[in-house]
Amino acid sequence: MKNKLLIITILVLIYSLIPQLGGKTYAQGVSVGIYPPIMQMDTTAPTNANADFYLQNQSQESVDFNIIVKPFRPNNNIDGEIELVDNIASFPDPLFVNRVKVLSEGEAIKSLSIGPKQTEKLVLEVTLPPNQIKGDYYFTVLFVSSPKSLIKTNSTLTQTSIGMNVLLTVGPKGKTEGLISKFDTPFFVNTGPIAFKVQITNKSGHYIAPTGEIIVKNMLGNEKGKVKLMPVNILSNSSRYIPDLSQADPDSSEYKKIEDIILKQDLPVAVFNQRFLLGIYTATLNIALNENGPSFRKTITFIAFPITYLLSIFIILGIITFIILRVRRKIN
Amino acid sequence: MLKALYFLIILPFFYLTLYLGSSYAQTMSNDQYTVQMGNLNSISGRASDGSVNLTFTSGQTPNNLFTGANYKVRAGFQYINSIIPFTFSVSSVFVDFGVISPTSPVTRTNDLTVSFGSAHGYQVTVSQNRNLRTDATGWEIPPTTCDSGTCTTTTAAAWTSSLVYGFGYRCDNLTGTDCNTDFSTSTFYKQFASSPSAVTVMSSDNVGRNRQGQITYKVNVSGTQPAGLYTNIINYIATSTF
Repeated sequence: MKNKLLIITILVLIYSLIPQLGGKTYAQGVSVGIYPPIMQMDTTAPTNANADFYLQNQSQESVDFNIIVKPFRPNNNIDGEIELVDNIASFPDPLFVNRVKVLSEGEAIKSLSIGPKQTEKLVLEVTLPPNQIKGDYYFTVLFVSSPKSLIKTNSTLTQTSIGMNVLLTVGPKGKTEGLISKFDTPFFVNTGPIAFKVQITNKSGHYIAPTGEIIVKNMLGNEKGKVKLMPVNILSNSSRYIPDLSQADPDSSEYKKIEDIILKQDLPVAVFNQRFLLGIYTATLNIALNENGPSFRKTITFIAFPITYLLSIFIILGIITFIILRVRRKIN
Repeated sequence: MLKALYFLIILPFFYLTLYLGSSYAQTMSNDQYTVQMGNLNSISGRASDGSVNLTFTSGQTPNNLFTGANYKVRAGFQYINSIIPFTFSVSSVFVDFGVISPTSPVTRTNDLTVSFGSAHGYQVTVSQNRNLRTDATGWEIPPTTCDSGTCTTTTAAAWTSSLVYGFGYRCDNLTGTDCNTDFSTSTFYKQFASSPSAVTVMSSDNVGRNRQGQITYKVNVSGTQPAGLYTNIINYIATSTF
């Protein structure tokens, strides 16, 4: 009996140690989160600007991060996506990166480790001397995970990185300049909703967040609806397509109604959500590049002729006429 | 002795049960309601029954406006009513190709998941630190050029022949349609760009909830490829739109 108990005890111990003997479970993934995904900093030198942000490790294991600051510029699709740049000289001040620090509990850090399912509160600090060169500085604070593994086979390790974009203006800001570079929709439409392409060009030395709307009127001059535009950021000396404000919330009923239209487009569009349209319409875009202007206006015309609806009506009328004629003939 | 045997058989099942990870439920739902949780506060999230949406927060919310001498900082997108973090997940850190036999292509997969949270759009770029290489000798498996010799870091092409060698990848949509459209044909692959260059593998300029893409890594070697331990690092970077 004692021997049996001894054997059982030994086997239990072996079972208990199996995971430890196996070492790391290489198949674990990494899941990281950041809030906010963007910061907009308006400054005038000298200053010591700082703001809180949060980095989350949602993985089952702790993750080690290295912190890297990289400049970015808008990509060629002018849809709000970024392109990271390795050339620090693209900044007005090439030494600018040295003025950006990430603080944890008051101490500047270049790396950190976050435990599983933990959130770390951090501070972004930008210190600008009195002689800081004016202009816009666009950069991403990247948190690059360091993959941990013992490589004993042909393999690839994946490195997971997440970034927070920062739009920083060292002012005072100059004059705001820009233009409506595109505002159009197909001239002839069968039915609504109508997708408008709205592209604004910012010719200023600083980023802008234009506000505006599209007012749609019928041929009698009656207002049929308004489309509020999303106040997206347009970087200095660049263009961007602007969607409508209802697209800010994917769970809203307004968004659900136009989701199919949006997903069919290659680029962001502002959608006028009215299904049945008939006749000649005008759409007027009113946009202010910032709070104090300048403002711009552009009007386009489109014709809506619901061929599908009308064909259906004609077919139904034809069938009814045919039946009536047949019945009359039979009666006669 | 038989009892002991039963005990030993049952024990691993108990053991495995106890070792199962927590589910960390962030979404609860029934037929009528969906409650999405998960942000920086003690209790917060979004409740919906399809027609009515309700956001709720309990505890301390993050500050979205910071001001001081000569500066003002606005955190987050001012037009998005959410403080849920922008999240990026890669399903596996380690992609094991095992033994690679000549003219027998090896494929492995990895899932990328992006949760928009408080972001409007996003992009995920990919790059490699180097070609698959042996540290000891410096032998390399070069990037694939695909069947027609035309695929590059930015152009996808068909790669089906087992006599075409190299290392490449493709992306397939699991949820949403965010994988680069160059991969719309199921046999199309691309080369990895070498850091610091990077190319976009998934992106969206629209708002959304969760998007998932599956990366397929493919490696094939010729009979003259020297034996060795070939490794590299693939870097995925997720950033929101601005």
